[in-house]
Amino acid sequence: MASPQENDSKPETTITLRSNDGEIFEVPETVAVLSVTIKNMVDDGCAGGIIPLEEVDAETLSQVITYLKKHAALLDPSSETEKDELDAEFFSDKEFNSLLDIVNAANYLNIKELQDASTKQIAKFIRNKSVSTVRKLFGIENDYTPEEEEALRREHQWAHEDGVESDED
Amino acid sequence: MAIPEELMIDIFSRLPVKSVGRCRCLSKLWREILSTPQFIKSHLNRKTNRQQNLLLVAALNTIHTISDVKNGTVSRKIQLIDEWEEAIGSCDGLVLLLNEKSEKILVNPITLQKEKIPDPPLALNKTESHSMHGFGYDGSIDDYKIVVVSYYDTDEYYPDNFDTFVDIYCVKKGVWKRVDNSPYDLSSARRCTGACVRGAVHWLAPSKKQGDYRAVIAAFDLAREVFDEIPVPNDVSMDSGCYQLVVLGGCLCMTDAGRSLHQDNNKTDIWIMHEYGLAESWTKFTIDCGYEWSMLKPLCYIGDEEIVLICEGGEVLLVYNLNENTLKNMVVDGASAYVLDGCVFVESLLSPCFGMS
Repeated sequence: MASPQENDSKPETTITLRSNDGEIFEVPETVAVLSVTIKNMVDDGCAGGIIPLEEVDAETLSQVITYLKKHAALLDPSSETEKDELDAEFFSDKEFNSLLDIVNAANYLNIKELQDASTKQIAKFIRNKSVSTVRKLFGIENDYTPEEEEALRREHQWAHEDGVESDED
Repeated sequence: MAIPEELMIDIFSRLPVKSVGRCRCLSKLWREILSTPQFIKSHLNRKTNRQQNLLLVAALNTIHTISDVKNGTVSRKIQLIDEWEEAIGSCDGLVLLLNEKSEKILVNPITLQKEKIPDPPLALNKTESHSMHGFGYDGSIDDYKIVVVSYYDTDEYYPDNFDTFVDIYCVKKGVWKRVDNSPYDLSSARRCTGACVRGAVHWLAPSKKQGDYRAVIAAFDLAREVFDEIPVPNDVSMDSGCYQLVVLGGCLCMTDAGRSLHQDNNKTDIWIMHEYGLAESWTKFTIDCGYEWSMLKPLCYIGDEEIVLICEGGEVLLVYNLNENTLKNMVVDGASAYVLDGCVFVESLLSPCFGMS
């Protein structure tokens, strides 16, 4: 691999990423290395070829890249308000299952900002949901008998008060 | 599961306490995970979960909590049945309460778990003595401590015994111990709850120095179990007036209350120590809008401009606006709130029942 030129008009290096369903994405290096996973691969010398991302599909990868580009373009990276506005806009049109895909991708790609923002968003989504709704959303199996569950609810009476959305059936 | 366990735990740690309580009902695995001390601690440490709530001992000796602290808010009466008198203080979501029998009960106002604290084995006879309490956390041993400072009633009994006894209870260990008598004569300070901040419980006391009639703040360090001294404001003369120490917005706060009971234009001076330990950082403001009450005890801020106070004379909750210098009754559940005592607390999953495995 040729070493970068030491002058002012150095052309920006691009990294090539491939999703697990075969789509190719060209991303500026400065944006791509916001993912610590990708940065480590680049440091290990993989930047010349295509970086395969086994755990991320094309749709999710496209959304992650959009997020990273917006974050890299922030006028004031230390401003919490700017970041919050960006996150609010980014998540405004995302369905729950997309949130799960994004948080998995952020975890795999080791992008702390996106992981924190997505876990926060998911928590906001589920905070007033009923127990059975949360089970469905995360695919959690109920291994309590009806009697055990009733006893548990009584024990946690303080938690099952007003403000809880009813089951979506 | 759709996503790895560690991500799920991260998500659950961002939920309010009641949501976590419901999620303990998801499955046996989640009941276990969401009850571990590690989870409870990481949940407590989330900045988003440290929003301030208010606990009030209402005029009918019941307990109410307020999560959205502002004028015109609503409260929730919690199902803790007793004749409650005093809210001593709170730490990490645990609140120490005193009932009419002077029994100390540690509660979590959200999960409603409670634990009665035994009396110190060397406790002075209650009819012949007075006690003051403080409650805080000792980081060096990761335990919560209750401090009881007691002294004999020298008017009626034991006129020659001016000792101030100090007993400490380690909540997790469940053990009382008596430490060396206090070098300060805390009996002459107005009997009130110790103000706990920076890992120390603070009371006003006369200076130990001969011929020095100013007062100092005696700070009982919970980890080292000794008294340090913090300077009072420079412009305070302690022989007139009746002072009280509280914590306001995480800072030591001193109020001069009950000074001008019979004057037309009652006012209260309030000092806040913005930098702990620094005498010059005491800044004063005066509530000077002419009101009939006395003995104002600040509880907490509402935003930057308003302060919630308890008026101990009228047993009423008030809101003071710093910019407008106005004092109004605080409206809770549609009417003026009448309270005996109160304190702030954060929501947490911490249980006061440390003895149970």
